[in-house]
Amino acid sequence: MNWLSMVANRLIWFVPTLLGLLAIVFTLSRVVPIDPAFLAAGENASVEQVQKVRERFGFDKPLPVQFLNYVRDVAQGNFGVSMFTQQPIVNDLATRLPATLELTLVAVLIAALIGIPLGVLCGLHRNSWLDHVLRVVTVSGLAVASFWFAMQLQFLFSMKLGWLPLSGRMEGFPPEPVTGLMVVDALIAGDGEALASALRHMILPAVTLALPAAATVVRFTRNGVIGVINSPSVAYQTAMGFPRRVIIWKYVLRMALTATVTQLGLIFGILLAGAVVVETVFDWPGLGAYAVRSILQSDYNAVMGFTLCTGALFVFINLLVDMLQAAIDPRGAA
Amino acid sequence: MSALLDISKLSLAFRTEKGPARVLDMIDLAVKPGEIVGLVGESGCGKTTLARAILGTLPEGLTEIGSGHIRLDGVDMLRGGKAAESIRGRVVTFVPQDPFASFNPLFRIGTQIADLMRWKAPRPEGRRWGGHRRADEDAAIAMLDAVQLPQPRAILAKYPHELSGGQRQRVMIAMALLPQPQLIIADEPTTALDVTVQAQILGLLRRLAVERGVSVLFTTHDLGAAWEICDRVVVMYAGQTAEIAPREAFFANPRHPYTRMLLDSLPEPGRDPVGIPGGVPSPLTPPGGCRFNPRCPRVTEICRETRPALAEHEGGHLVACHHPVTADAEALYV
Repeated sequence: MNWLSMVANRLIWFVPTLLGLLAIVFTLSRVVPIDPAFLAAGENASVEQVQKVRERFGFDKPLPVQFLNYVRDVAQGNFGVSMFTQQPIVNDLATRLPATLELTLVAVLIAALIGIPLGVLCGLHRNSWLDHVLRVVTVSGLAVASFWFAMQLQFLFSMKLGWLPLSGRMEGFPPEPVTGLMVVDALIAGDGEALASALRHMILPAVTLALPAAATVVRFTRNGVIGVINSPSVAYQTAMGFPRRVIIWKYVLRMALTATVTQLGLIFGILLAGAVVVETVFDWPGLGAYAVRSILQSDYNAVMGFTLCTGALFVFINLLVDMLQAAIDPRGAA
Repeated sequence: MSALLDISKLSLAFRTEKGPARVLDMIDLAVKPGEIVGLVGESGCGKTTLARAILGTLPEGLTEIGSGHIRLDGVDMLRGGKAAESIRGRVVTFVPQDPFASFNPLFRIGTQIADLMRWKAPRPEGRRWGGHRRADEDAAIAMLDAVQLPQPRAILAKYPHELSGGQRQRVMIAMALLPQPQLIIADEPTTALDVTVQAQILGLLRRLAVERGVSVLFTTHDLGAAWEICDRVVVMYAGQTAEIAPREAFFANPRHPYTRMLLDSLPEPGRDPVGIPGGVPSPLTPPGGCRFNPRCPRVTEICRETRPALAEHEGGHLVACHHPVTADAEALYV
């Protein structure tokens, strides 16, 4: 019951949070010193033509009216039309979101698989050589510019060794799109060749993206373990002769992970921000690359659409994290 | 009858930044099968350290064993390694001081009991795995019933924070009994509980131990609690054994000046309690000879120089004192 009321509470807050996000996105788009009508009308347009465009898009109306219109459109799933492709933004986002989602999910998976065991080992052997080495690595993992790291990986594994493709998401024919996640679609289609290609393309960008996230996971898991390992419950289980591995990998790990799970939202934010750079370097057809292109072209409907989309995604992920947190820790659900 | 637990001439120190802290000094103690022994002393007298030494869970790398041995069922618990680990939770179990913090808060009571039984409960030969889940659950429920917890099945499904302190300590006693041990070490098991609950828990512990023929080593600073449940009382002062006596003899004729003053410090109708001047010496710089000599009204030169040996008086009464209180010399002050 507690858990349900917690979820209901968070769901109610979901709506005002999104409205706030809309207001910020809208305000930012109007503060930018670029006249969107001028851009849309084209370089050689006359003053009259620009005025027409302005009226067509409703830019001549007062700002509050424009905002209400905007909220209404978004509520109806209408994010406007790209000023350059003349395609509805929603379509663009819908084709690109799965690519980013796939990349991010794999990056989270890599970060968790690497970060959690290393974090536990560091926490258990605090101030050992392993802990010191990993502290240096994690700090640099957070500090290193991801585009630089991405290009090092490309240079080594694609250009020098030729093991992995340089960029892109797929070679040959992509499988029938069902989920939009290339790996899943290839599995559904039973297309081994497409699956191998999808995975090979995925490795370098996912690793680049996972590096700072893994560093964060290591640090939080380590601190979680250190906070728990000297607790009376561990002393009790040791005195009662529970096997060490059961104490560590079952009981201590769950306690340590409550801290890490809280950070998953933060980690997801790191990944979304990283996706902008990583997708551009690896020519990955996702939201990040789309955002960069839209910004460079001052396609402001597309920028607003992207910002809103990632913002909503971030809020949604944090909702999931809260629910997961409450499920892990029965005391917190109040 | 040979001793189940045999501690002989045990001296032990912890490494600290200020030098070795000599926490235990030539401790002798034996516990016979089925016997309930109370280990009485002030905070810092070494009783918890002694309990941890018997369980073999002293902090590694910080402990220096000066002399002596601890044998439990024939196994050397100080240098036992694997053998000691196997004994823990099987031959000797543990009831902790703090039933609030000694459970892992994130797992159900039933899970924590199931893990204990999976690793430590006695199994019929050849059926180590599988088919035990049901039998384990039945045994757990029967034991929760034995410690007088109502609705034991519901308790298995609860989280620790959903139980009261008294209920949790009952579960701890059930867990201590489930592996069918020969010795239970109860480290101040009632200190964290309400006074009204304390007597119930002590009575329960004594009754169940006697019924099952399990020995109990019970540490406490509460002489009243020792009177409630013990067959024999051991008094420790600053890491040394002061006096060992059967319960009746102990309370009727205390021989050691410290014990005598300890009993005088209890409030009693018709008499004002008398405190013991001074404080417990630091284990970093313990006084020579008998460690009680700076506070003892009977102190003489020999007390500062020579450590008194445990000498046997009538009725199994052992006293380590150069000038014990006897029928001829009753007055505390000479």
